[in-house]
Amino acid sequence: MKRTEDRWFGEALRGAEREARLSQAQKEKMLARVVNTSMPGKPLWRERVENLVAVYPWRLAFGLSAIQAVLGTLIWGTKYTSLLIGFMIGG
Amino acid sequence: MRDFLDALNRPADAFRRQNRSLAWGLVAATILAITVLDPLLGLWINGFQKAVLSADTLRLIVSGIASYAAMCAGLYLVCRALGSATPFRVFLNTWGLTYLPTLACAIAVGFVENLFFLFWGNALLGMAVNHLFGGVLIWKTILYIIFLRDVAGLRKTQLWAAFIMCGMLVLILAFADMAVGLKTPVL
Repeated sequence: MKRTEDRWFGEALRGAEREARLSQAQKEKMLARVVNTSMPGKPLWRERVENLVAVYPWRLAFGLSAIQAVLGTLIWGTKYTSLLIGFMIGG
Repeated sequence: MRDFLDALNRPADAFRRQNRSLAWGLVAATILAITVLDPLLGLWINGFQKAVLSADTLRLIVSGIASYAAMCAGLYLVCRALGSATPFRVFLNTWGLTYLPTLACAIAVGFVENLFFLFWGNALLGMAVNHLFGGVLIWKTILYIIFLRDVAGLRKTQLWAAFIMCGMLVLILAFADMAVGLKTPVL
């Protein structure tokens, strides 16, 4: 009887231990945070924003442009497009 | 090819390598798109009788080259005044790497101008053209800032002062280019 209880507790403890173990993603996140705080320089968010702008700049440009094109056309209709085309090709 | 892809995707790396052939090749392609492609499209689409290669074409090509040199000189002088130590030669060899959006704009202007009847009053096609031109303008502005930061080596206040001053220079040169007949400013 005692041996059965020991085995039950043992399994429960092993299960709890297994659950408490860090996942690979958590480990990587912690490592990135430790490296980031221990190294002097720019904060991580700033680096991300700079990368977003400086790497694949056309992606951000056309993404922002899509928003202005859709919103402008929804609000002002074809007048908005005509204005921009007129401006770009000199009226 | 690697330098071309870097000019497209990682301009800071392309600026660092200063591939002069690519930079000047992009400027030449832009000038040709404005001076030769546009009349060719006019001929094919609308049957215009304007000569594709004439004395006027030569004048426009020379104006385009002069516009590029003037832009580089202006950038150099403004950046120099704000503390940049980059030599003029580097400006001449790298500014052309920002010409991918300018080239896209020159080609788009040629098509839109000759096929304007398709886009005028059509919300969907108009929106697509709007998206293209807006994207090109934002893309060029991003490259312009990266250029001032990475090539001219300007930071913070100097960077923004150069941005505004060179922006005014761009406006002046754009009007001058329009005045001589370059439909897309070679800037």
